Amino acid sequence: MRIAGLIAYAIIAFLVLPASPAAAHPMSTTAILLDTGPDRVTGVVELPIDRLEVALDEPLTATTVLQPAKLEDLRRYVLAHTSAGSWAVALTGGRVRKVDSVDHLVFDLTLTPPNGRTSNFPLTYDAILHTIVSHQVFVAARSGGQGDYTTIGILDWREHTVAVPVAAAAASTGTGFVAALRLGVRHISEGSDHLLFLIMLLLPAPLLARRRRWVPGGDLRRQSVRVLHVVSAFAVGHSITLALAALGYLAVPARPVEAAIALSVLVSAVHAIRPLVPGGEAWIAAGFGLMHGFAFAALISDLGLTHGSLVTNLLGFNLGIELTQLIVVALVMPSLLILARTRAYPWIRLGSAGTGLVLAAAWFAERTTLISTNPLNGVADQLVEHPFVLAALLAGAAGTASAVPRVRAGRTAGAVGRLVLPRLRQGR
Amino acid sequence: MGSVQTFTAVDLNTGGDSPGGANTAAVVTAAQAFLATLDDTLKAKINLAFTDNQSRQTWSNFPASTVARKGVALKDLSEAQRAAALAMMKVALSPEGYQQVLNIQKADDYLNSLGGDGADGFGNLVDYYVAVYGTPSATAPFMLQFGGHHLARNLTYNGTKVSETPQFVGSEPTSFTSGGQTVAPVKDESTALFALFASLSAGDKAAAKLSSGTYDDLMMGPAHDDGVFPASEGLTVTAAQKTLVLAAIKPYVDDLADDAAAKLLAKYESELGSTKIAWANNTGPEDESSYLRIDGPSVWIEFINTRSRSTPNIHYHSVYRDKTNDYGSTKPS
Repeated sequence: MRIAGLIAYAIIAFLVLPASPAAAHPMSTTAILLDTGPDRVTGVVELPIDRLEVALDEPLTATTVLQPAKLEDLRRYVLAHTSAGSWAVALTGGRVRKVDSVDHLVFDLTLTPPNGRTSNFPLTYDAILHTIVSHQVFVAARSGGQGDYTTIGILDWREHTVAVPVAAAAASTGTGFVAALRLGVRHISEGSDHLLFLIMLLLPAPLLARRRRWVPGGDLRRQSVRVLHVVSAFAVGHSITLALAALGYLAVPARPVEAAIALSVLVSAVHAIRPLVPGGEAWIAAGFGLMHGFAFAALISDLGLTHGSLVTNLLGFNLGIELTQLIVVALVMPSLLILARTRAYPWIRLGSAGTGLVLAAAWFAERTTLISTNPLNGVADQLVEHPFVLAALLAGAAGTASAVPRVRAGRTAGAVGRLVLPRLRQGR
Repeated sequence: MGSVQTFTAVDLNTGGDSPGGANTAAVVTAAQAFLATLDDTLKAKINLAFTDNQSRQTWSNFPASTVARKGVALKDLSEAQRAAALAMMKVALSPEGYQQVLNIQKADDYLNSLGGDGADGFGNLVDYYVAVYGTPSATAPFMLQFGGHHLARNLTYNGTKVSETPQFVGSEPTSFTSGGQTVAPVKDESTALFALFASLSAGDKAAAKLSSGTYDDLMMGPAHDDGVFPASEGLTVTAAQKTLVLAAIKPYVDDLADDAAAKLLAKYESELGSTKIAWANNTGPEDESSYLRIDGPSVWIEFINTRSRSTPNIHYHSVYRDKTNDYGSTKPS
């Protein structure tokens, strides 16, 4: 199931996000790639980790830079070395990407003009450069969110500021609402913990809880209603806290929220193995949804939105999250419903839930600083590299399992195993 | 992204401050002989306008697969055309300068033989390009451009005046075996420079240390042609150090055919009293990021121990510029 989640994540990332800007640039240089839009400029900053090490005079690796505390330090460092005249600067995210086989730390950059309309602006940047005099920072931009980037300039020891031209009309990036919607899609699709939580809850949706065990049962209509309950409960839960926190009525520190989210995945994985509460997945979805809402709010507050556009953006952002959830459901549930009618499903459910359990436990340990590095982060990255292969595997498993009589356990099967019949009866 | 280096043309002129002594007539003959071997298609690509400043400034320490060069790659020339191109360079350069061209090319064959990351882009024919700007003439300005990964020869002639800068030499690895022989393409330059800094007393060494930050590459590498140099820093050359400083400058200047090189070296010698030497990071030939600099009223030499993914050890990058005569031009305003 974790695999299905990653497939969903990767497919969404592939469909919705702009093409990966991992364009070639020589090793050991920084790249700033900008997408200019009508009301803001977004982009990425790619910093070579080996140069960050030298500039900050401390050992850093692709793993250590992603430790939450270290990542926050680095984010603040880069933010302190970035400005854009009177524009608001926000730096979010933080991931490692190989550019020309060299590990780069990548942050998302959002530059917002004070009057809400973009025009040419000065970008000043000297992270790494302030220490390594010979470092170079390539600045490139494009408008409309697609096509090739055009090099605007190179920042080096002579010049730490470059004038960024902003095209008068950048049609396809859309208005603030659409941009916020895209952002919502993007942030949930990049947050594998949010998706894993949802998928763990969907795992037992085709089943019934009987005497603290999961048993097959329910027709398609009842199963669909249960899926709907889970998705709606999660949406209600996270919408409440997202709205309250984004509008400034509630404030919760990031670290406990991150740990609580890892815990939510842990609980939902346990629930997928053995029902904790009958019909509990909707309650788990709603309750922990509140925690996930705080995490989404932290993202939206990092965007530096003005209060006037906040409500619009909040709606767009939340809609993006809901849309992504629905895409995940659409990608995952058909295969699950087919598999649930086979004898293979208990093994698939237990295997997936077990995997989710291990991942969640590792996240929890990392976020409560019980462990300093999470050895499983790389595993997820590897799986994301091959989304369509994994999607095909899942669909193939569903197809094969339902086509092979020995595995199939449906009512119409000619060779229903003797062991299965009592269970089916029990299930109704 | 388009290219990794953007070459913004600066206004070059022909007023550069050269002490003269160029073997221009011999170079013109050799250049004409080379151009005569070309058909119209090749000639259109190789013989470019002398006023094409942006192309003249297009050189790099990156392989041609990363930063596209002007002119035509040696692999796209016939054997006869290639021989004529090399003969042209042999006339323009001193025996040491020409041998250095061949040795740096061999380093790319060596890198290619190692295989791995991007090695396909390396090779003595694949990665080296030749171009001629303007019509070779004993009286009107023209320029020869020859280079590739770790080499940039930009030779601008204007009557008896000549410029051999900007000049880039590098060697990865610093030393290797080719055809049973040890080849160290930048050995003369590196040996003399490291000897100079090794000779400094503790006090002089402290005074020569750069305080403005750390370095992982050259400051005045490719695309730094607008005449702006870093503020002068370091230790002013003392009388006792003059011999070693001059010995460190000589291998760079001496790449040019003899008479012009001797005149130019004499000019730099006369300026030693207001020339500074400086270093950062380390000063040993195999140390991490050793960065060495000679900074005079005219001469500018930078040397650094750098790294790549292709070989395990440090390798050398070095640029030589003349603040009053790069591309045969005075300092652009």
